Amino acid sequence: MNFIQLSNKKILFTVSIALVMFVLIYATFSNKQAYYGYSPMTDIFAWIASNTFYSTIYKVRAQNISNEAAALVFKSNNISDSNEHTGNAIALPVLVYHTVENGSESLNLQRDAFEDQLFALKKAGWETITLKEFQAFMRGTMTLPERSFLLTFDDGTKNSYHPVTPLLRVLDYTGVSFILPKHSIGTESHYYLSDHEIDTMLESGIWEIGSHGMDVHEYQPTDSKDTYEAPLVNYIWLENEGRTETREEYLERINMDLLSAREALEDRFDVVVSSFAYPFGEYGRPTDSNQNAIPGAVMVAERIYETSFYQWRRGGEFSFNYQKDESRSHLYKRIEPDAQWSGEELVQRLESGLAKTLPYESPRRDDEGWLRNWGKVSFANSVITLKAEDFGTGGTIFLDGSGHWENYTVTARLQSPTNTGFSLLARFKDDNNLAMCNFNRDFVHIEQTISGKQRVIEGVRDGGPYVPQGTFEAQAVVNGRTISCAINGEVLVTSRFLDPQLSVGGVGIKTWSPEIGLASVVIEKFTVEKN
Amino acid sequence: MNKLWNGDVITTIKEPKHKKNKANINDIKTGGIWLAFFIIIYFILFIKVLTFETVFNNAFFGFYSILITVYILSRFLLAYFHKETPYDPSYEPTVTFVVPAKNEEDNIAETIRRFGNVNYPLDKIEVVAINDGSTDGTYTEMVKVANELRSKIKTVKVINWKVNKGKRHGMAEGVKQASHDIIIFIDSDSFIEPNCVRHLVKYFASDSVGAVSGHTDVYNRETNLLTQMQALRYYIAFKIYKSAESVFGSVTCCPGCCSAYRRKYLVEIVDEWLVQRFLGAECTFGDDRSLTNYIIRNYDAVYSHEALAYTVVPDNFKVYVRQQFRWKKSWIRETLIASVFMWRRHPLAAASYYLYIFLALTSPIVFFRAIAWYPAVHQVWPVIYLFGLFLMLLLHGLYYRAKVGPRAWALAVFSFWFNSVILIWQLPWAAINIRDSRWGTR
Repeated sequence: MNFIQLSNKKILFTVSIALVMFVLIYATFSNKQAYYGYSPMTDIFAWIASNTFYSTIYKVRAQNISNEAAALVFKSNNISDSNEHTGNAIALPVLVYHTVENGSESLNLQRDAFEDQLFALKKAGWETITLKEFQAFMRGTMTLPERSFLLTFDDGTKNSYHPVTPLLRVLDYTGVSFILPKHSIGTESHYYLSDHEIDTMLESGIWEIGSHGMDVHEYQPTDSKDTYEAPLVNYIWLENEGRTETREEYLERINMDLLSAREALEDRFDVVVSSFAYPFGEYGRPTDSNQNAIPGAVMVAERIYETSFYQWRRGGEFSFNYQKDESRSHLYKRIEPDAQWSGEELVQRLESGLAKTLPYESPRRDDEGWLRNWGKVSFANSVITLKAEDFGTGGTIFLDGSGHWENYTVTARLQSPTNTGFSLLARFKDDNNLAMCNFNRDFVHIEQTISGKQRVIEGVRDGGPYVPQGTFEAQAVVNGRTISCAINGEVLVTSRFLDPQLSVGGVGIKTWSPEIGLASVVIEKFTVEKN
Repeated sequence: MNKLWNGDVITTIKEPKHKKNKANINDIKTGGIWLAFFIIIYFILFIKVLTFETVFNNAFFGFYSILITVYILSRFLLAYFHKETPYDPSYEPTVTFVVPAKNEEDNIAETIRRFGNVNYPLDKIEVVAINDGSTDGTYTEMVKVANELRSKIKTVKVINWKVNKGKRHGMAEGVKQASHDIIIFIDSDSFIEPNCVRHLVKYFASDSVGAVSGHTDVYNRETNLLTQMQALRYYIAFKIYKSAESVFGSVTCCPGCCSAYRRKYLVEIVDEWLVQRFLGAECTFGDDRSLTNYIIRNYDAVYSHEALAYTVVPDNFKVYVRQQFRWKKSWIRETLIASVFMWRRHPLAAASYYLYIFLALTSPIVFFRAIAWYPAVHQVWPVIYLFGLFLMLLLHGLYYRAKVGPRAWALAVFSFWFNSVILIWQLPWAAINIRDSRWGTR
């Protein structure tokens, strides 16, 4: 016999409670999936807690900044009263981050450092643009304010999104996330974003997505001895056939990879995916760790994506992307801030990369944008001292932010304590595309390097010594396709056949000597004036 | 004595109805407590939904976690649907109180005295008190109070054993000496409320009922945190767990502190019960549980939540631990025995019973894994497990607080959690020591 009493009142009560529970749990669960994918509960609570906490802090901080900004006038590097200074951008930087950690002991970027960097940018007047705006600007169909930048994040990890979004919201910034479809679509990762989260991400209006490749983001063996390399820029080892792939197979493979990545993202998220970030930031130029990189990736990528991004190596080329650089109209570089940079450091680097207006005079400070390719440089005692390393033969520096200069005169008052030769670089695009006036005691040459091939196109000899002792003035003048080199006002050599590819470019200084460790030059004054 | 339990007055029968005309601040608080109660259930369920995803990762532990939630929530649900049985004033069977006692000189007088203060025709009551080899003044006290009582109750027998024979023998002697229809066993340190008898006997109106358990609360609740925690445990154990068992007439333990049995059914099995042996050793503890087990083979055992009594619980941690240890040993023995015939009872009762055994046996394993193994291997603190355990216990604590009113319950919940964590090791240890028949506290 049983002692149960199924009264209507009690049944109604129980059923209502059960219904309410069901509805609440269903709602919470689907929300949880949309917002956090398949992350474990501990992570979710940690994010909710820290984001709630930080959001309030951010709001306070942002308010302080806007109060300060009203009072503060940030001094631009481009102190010029020339009418060229329109306040519109001529070149744009792109920043790339990976993940933002919270309170871990590793050397990866921590939340407070990231906050510091973005708040500093905002305070200095830097605003983000969307990917579409970036693309329009590069096509020449849009103007943007001077201090605009594109903010990107690679790999589509949860840590590149959850700790970041509240900050973007408060700062009114937008970001682009380069997703790995293999890890994010149809998976239940605790590390990578799930497709639910990406849906929510796209709905927020703060984020756009790009492609980061399908299988090319994983190292694969390139020979039978288990050497692993990035498969986008290396021929891989075909295990079944016991050989490396041919160039045709390679091109076919990466074509399929980049195409399938784009299609997977476009199908799942119903957006246009027109940008691609090269895995590991490499598109196939030889690096110290990868001498055998092959240059096929750019060719394939440009057929599939409108824009592709690689990581700037902090030397050899300008840090910003110039609007009018047709030579690489779809390949763009990104600056990867150090996890250890303070906000001020990041701002300073961007300020020094900003397109500079003419006239320009140096030396002022050593953080105004002189980038060093090789050799040793110092800005002590208000002079620029450039010399060879102890076991090197020379050094080169160039001025970031000068990539759009067209017709100008470079004047340098200098001396060489070791009586070695030096060059004034002009129409510098990168270290494989530039022109120079090469001054030596016994000769003066006009040289140009196109795609890495260096040639002397004009020169004088047997009339020296061309370079006097002590301090003197050297000049390089570029006008259209004419380049001339002068010392102390006397033009020594001129050429009218500067390669048309070098129609715009910036300035730099080089010193070189065949003797080891000897080359050196001290520049007391360096000015560039418009012609 | 707390005012709340004073609803029983000798002359009136029903408890006074609560006045609805003014909104009591306590009502609002109670409403808030119930809201918190259901919010905790929501959190528990939500965590289970999440855990369900990982069931496929680790079937055993995921399954365990879901089963234990189902078990506990089903206890609340069943208790909610327990039938209210009003007592029938025309049904008044004769009743014998049986009180075995050993070394209980402080409490025995009050215990026995209360038999004369019950709300029941005194001419239908008799008392059998057994002094089981006490070395203190228990016998003297018994004789004194028996003399007092004889002015109200006709038959008050005091049996004096010079040598201790054990509680079981005491109870059996009581059964033999009794002549009335219903036997009510009361512990020598338990105090009944006046309406206790009425509410115990009312169930015997139907023939299928063989035993009825009363509701026992902790008398010395206010002494210290340990007693407060036990008060919470007792309350929950009766109101929720025993009530859930009672829905199908399958209460597995009618406790010796306050329970009633039909003498006709008892005499069928009392001899067998007396000489019960287990694994070659004589059974000297868990007498009440064992007796209930004999009854529920063929009859129903029910819980009567209005039959109120109080009992004294250990206020010393060592004594408490020994008591718990003893109880675990009897639990192991009787659970094994009952599982042989429990399947014959109502399917839901049987299912709950076997599920409970499964959970009780696997809990130490799950506990060990969560607290020791997993953290050692994965360097992760057992936050979710301990939090989940805490939520469950908080649920019990909130129920207690909602039903019983404001008193120091929060600390009790913590203590409950703490003690559960500490005492979970006792079960395996009890299994190893089951043949040790010493009581340890007596």
